[in-house]
Amino acid sequence: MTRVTENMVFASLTQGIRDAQHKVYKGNREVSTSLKVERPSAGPVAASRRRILDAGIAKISKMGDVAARSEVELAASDTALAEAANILARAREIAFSGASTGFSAADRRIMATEVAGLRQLLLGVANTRAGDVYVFGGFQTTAPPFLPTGAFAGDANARSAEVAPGEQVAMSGDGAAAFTAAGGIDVFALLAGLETDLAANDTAAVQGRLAGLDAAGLQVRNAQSTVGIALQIVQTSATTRSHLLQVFADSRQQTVGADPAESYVQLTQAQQALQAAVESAARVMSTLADVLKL
Amino acid sequence: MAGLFDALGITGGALMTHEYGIQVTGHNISNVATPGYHRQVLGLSARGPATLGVTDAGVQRVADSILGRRLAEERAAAGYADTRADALAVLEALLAELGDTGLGAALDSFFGAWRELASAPQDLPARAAALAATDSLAARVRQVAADTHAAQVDADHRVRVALPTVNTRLDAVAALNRSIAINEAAGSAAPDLRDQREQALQDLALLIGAQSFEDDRGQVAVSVAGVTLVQGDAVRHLTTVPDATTGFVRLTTADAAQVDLTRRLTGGELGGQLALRDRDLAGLATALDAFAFDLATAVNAVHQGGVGADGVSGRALFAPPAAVSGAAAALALDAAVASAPDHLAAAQVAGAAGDGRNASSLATLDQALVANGGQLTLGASLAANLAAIGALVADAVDAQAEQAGRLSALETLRESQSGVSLEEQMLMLDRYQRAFQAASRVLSKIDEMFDSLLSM
Repeated sequence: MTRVTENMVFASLTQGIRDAQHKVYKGNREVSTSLKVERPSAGPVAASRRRILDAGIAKISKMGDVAARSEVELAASDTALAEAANILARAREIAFSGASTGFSAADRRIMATEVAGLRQLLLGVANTRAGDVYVFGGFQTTAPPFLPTGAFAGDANARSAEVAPGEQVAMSGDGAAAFTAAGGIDVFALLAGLETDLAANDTAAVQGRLAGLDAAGLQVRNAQSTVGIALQIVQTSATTRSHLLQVFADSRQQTVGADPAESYVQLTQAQQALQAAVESAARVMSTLADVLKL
Repeated sequence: MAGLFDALGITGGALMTHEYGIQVTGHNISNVATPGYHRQVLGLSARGPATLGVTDAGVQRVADSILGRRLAEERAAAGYADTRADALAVLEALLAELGDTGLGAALDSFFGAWRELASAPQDLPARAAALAATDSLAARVRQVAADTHAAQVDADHRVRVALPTVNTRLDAVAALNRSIAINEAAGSAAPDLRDQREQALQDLALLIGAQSFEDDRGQVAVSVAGVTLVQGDAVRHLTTVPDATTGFVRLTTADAAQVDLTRRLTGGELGGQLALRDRDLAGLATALDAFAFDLATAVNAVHQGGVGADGVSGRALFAPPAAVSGAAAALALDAAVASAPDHLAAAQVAGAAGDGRNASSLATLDQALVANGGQLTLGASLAANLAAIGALVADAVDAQAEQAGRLSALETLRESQSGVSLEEQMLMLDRYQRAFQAASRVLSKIDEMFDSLLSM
């Protein structure tokens, strides 16, 4: 039979209380953080996986920020191109009227003035900004891409952004394709020509502009379609990101998360064990004190 | 008459012997909580055959020398394990790698900021944010390097601070060897001196993993890593000498031979501190240096291929590291871009404010195999380091727990054999007291008998 000494009893009681306190502390941490793996040493492989998942979550979240910025620019481009299409439609109406023999030279001069106004309006639309960015300038985002003459000062580069893993999308409309000869028709030159023809009361020339105006309208609407598709991709990417974030979050929870109910039960058990250890220690020490009174 | 005087002598001897028993019991009770104390037992023997009565056969120290040696071995291993586990746990908490302030989070922020800059290179706040995130990443790498180095310095300091205690204990063992030899040569047992020597040996085991051997003359020799430090009453002290290569200290004997024990210590707290300093922390520092070097090299290669908003190309983002060693502590923004967000090379071509292609290339470095000799991404490299740190700490903590269990089992065994049980001592006290009372009673009867004789 093992001989039991005071030091053994004391060491056993101390260790018992210390173990129970450690379990309560651990349980408390688990309940308060909802994490089983709070430190790398609690699960090296799980911690490593959590790091990779956290990096994935951070990356997807940042893609969300970029997508939001893209959406603002694309929406501005879409609105501008819709307005440009309306301007060109109005210009076509004027051209159609101007080509008609029922109007006088004075009427055509008034029409020419309206076309000049439409051209100015279109210039403003083509120089649309989203925040500080000129959306139709390509990489030239800090200065108006269209000069008062209608000359294009931007470039044909498309700024793009990754809005979901592997999903690159143009961030704004293509000004060159929408308004310059690069898209087929130099829209500003066309309107300038129409203005000149109307002012000169040249009905045949005005008549000749109609096909160009039809093509220009189509050109702008095509550019708007491209922007619309990009906008749709950006909006759809929110679903992709949300799904991926959920997958990452679920995986993270499975890897390092604690089951709240289980954690709570374990904490309760640990608290009971601590209470029992303390009561046991008190009882043993009391018995010892009784012995020493003999 | 001669018979009564004999009885008087027998009773007087009994009184003295049991009184001595009470003293020994009191000594045991007094030392119930004294570390390293071995209970003492008064040996009793019948005087016979020529004389009747009881005599004390000397005080016996209840000790098992083999168990004592095993205990010292386990204490050496426990000291080693405790030191490593405690220090590594502190470092793990300091690194906070799974928190929002860890190196991994800083790397995520860095790539995120450059991703955002790619989408808005003309945006000054986006440039400032990318510069700040880059600076924060460098600062975090430096902080981790500093924490790791500080832990090495701390371990080095603890070695130096502990050494006087080691030498004091070595002196104590030698002095006690001498005292024990003198006492025992004079025929006097020296249980308390042996306890003190045993305690000093246990301290030396815990401190430096010392091993001890007792010869047949009761003299203990102490050795560390095969080097004898105490032989009889002769002592060989230890000292520290600066190591110009590492900047830390080496542990050597203090004599002319200067035997280097630095790499030979495999036990005790000092062994743990040295293993921590030269192996565990040095390994972490090396891995961090490799990460910092890979990061700076890969990022600079992309950044130098781009153009700043001022049209200048070829600038490094991080100050180019001179070598892998020391790369983490030196990681910082290159002077050419520090405090100049417009110098960040977000573009591939000059004069294109909206060109964020180079920033995009830099952001997609998070997927490039540029770390660990082109085998891992930077993030995966960090995750691997994280797993390595976790495994290192977990192994150290497991070893600590295992060693604590082994030590506890042996201490329980030692305590069971040699410790003081108050209940047992109370019974012994009662026994000696009753024997003393009975002998007193005999003495009083003899006294009555003398009175009867004298009144006849």
